[in-house]
Amino acid sequence: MKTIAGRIAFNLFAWTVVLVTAFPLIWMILTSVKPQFELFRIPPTFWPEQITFEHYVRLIYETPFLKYMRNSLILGFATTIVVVVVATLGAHSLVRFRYPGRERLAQMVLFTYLLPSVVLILPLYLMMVWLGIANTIFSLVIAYTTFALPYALWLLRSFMQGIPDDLEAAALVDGATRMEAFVDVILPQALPGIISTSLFTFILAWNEYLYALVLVNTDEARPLTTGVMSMLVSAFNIEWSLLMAASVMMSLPLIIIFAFLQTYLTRGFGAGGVKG
Amino acid sequence: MADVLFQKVRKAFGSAVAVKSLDLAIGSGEFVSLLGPSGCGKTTTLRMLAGLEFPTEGEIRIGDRVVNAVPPGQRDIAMVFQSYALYPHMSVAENIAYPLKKRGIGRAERDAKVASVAATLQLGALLDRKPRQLSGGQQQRVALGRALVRDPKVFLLDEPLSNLDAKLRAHMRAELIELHRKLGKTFIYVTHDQLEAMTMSDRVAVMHEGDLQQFGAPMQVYEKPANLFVAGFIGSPAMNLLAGVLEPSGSGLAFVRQGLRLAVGDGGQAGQKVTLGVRPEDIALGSGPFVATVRIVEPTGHETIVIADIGGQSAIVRVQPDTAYAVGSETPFAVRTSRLHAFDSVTGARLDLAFALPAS
Amino acid sequence: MSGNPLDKRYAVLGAMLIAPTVLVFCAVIVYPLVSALYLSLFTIFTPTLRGSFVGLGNYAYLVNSPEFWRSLWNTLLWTICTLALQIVFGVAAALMLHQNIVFRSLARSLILFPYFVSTVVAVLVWRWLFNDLYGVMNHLMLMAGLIKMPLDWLGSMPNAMISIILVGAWKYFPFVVIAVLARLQTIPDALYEAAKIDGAGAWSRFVDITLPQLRDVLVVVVLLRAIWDFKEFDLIYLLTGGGPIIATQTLPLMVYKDAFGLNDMGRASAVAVSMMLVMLSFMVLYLKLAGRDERESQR
Repeated sequence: MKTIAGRIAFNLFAWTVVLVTAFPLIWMILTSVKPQFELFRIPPTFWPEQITFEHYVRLIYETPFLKYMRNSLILGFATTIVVVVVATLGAHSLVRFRYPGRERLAQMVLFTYLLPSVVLILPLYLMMVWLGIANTIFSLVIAYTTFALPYALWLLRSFMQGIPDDLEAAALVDGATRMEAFVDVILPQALPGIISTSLFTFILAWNEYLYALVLVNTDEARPLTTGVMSMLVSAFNIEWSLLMAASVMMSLPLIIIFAFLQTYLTRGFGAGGVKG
Repeated sequence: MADVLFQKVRKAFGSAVAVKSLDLAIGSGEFVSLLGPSGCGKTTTLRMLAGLEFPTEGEIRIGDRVVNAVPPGQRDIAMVFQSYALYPHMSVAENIAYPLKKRGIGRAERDAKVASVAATLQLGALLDRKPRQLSGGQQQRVALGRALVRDPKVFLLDEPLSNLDAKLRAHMRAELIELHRKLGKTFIYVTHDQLEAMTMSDRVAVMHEGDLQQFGAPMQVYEKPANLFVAGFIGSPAMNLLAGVLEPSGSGLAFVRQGLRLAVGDGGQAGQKVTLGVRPEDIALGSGPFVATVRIVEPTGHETIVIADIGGQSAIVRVQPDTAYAVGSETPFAVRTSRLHAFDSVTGARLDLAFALPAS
Repeated sequence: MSGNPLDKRYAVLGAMLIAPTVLVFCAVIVYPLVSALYLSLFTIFTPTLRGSFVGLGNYAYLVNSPEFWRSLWNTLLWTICTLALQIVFGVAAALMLHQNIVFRSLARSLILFPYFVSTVVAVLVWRWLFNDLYGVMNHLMLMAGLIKMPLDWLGSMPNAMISIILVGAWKYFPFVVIAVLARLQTIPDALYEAAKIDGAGAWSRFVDITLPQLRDVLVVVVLLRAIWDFKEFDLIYLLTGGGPIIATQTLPLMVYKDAFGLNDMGRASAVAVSMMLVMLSFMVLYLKLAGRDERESQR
């Protein structure tokens, strides 16, 4: 790799690999701005001969897409708020307090983090029916805590373990109560971790499919994942450019997070996802 | 009157005992160091006093109040942490003002007090900075400021100088002594550095394995170490500890080991195993009844350290730099008998024996 | 625990802070888990939710059901193949991205994106790429002369299994990349310099330094990914629905089909519980092996 030629060759190779990996996503965007008739060219065109946003317009005005999107946003934010609030309090307790059963609880969190959704989903379905909240966004928020809460707890616990004990001790000596020390000192220090956890939780909720499939079957409460798939199934002939436009729109929050908040994502990975 | 009182305080973490049964009375306005190697229980002792750990048994008093169940913030103490523990998201001014804010003191008064503390510690120009923009020495001053601003009854300092470089440390030592004199408050200072403990304290509490070994004025601890541990721990270079035995000699006893024989005035029993303690400055090379072999010579400028072999054990000797000693040469030596220490080799306790050189 | 009142007050406060977590856990995880075990002893008609007790009848049925064994086989095949690809590509891509290439952070973002994108989006794009008439995959392979006729990627075997394995590898290998990349950054350069001085070539540096350093992180990554791949539902369900017939039906899909297609919630629970048991036993076995390796390598 010392010679310039070797360096250029390696860069070309690396970028080829990167672009091949990203190709499906690039193709998604390209397809979404091609006119319908251009899709059926053989051989296919790479760059659109004509760029159109008609599919996006149709998506918004002629399909329930916006309703799904609204549902997904409510679902994502509600899940994130519930999970992050509960997990922040819980993680703080697991890291800074001493009481019997604390270690066992932490292990249980790790175990549930690995539990398959399909095992829980049938009893949860029965529970929602029994409570009379099946087919509501609320039922999904409850169901999503099954995977999001252990995850968030684990992530926040690692973040909070990184905050030195002395900081809380100093606040206590300075006259704060335990709760004041939590609010004044621990929370501001844990903020980057809380942001990371919130992003992860939001993405998990935004992308979830199985619970939404089982627990909700009205357009009123259906999120984007099952909603867009139902557009595929219900259409007489599949309009790929419309679906690709829907896919792009569905990935928008992700693209925004990637563009502006990526450091929080990678940091979250370092803290919770994998520890060597 | 005692300002801080530990009565039979014991602290166990599960099965590990950090502090065994501590009795300690610290007078009002005293500067006391808790000195010992790491893991000796000194930091646990301080944290119990601060209310960050709770004693398993026993009672802790500050003033005339039992504080076992009093939250740290209501104990009328302030603490400087080894890591400084400055709040990273607050400015220097906010850091110093935090204890006042938690006591419900109004903004105007807070600002005035912060300004006065900042003036004392020469932090005036740094008040708007965040801790990470400060040097180690500056951070240390802010930590001190946060403690000072409260005007507490007792100051607790947990190895506050250990993160500073040597030069700054010497400077801060002087400043802390000055500060203590000016405030007249009780200072309790945890350190593993005997130089800090000896130079700054009114009294030093030497701790080892959860036990208080000796509590006394620095010179007393140096001159009359209570046991083998204190003897070996206090003093740099360390005291030479030479194991031997008391044998009957004429009408009295003599301390005997290879290469060394000293008459013992009174006390002790024949056959008792005794460890003789000799400080490096109390061995005089050049003349005397005994013979040592010079092994290593380390000139440091203002003095020279000679490591010599005395009857199969190396001993450290402090000599004037003007005499040269050849490595490998044999030299006669004497010991200053009035300054010798003796300890029971089995129990480690100090023995009051009077020594004399053998009649030559 | 000492009898100090303040200590007790703190413990109570700690318990109060964890209480919401414990409550939620009991309601949405512990109760359903126990409930799933209980349900598996009944036969329950999903639309009416009425049922009768059958004891271990559901399990007896499964042991004799070729469909169950086929689904288990499919699950293992899918997990092992897609996991192997994820690890190989993941480690390779991480090594590549660890080098100094131009626009490295953009390259990283592009590589990571498939992992974060919704499975629904991934599946829609791939179904479009796999489209038999206008799909790019067929076109490219025809052009390259690899195939003479357009392939049916998702509707015939073994293509369907290969397709889900490939898409699974594409979607999830970034997880390996991030984990390995994070670890690579902590390997001290001095190790490589020392090896260079000792005359080690690029390959032996990789085998003797990089791989051992990656060992711990790979043990964890393999465990996590194996578990997640084993229980994967969305990707397979959306790509093939388990078809053709049941050729790509894994256990999670069988649970769904039994519960909502065949309307027998009891039997579905029995499948789910069996699946969890299989997973647990593999996990225990794996951790034992990894633990033994560790002890041996430290000897």
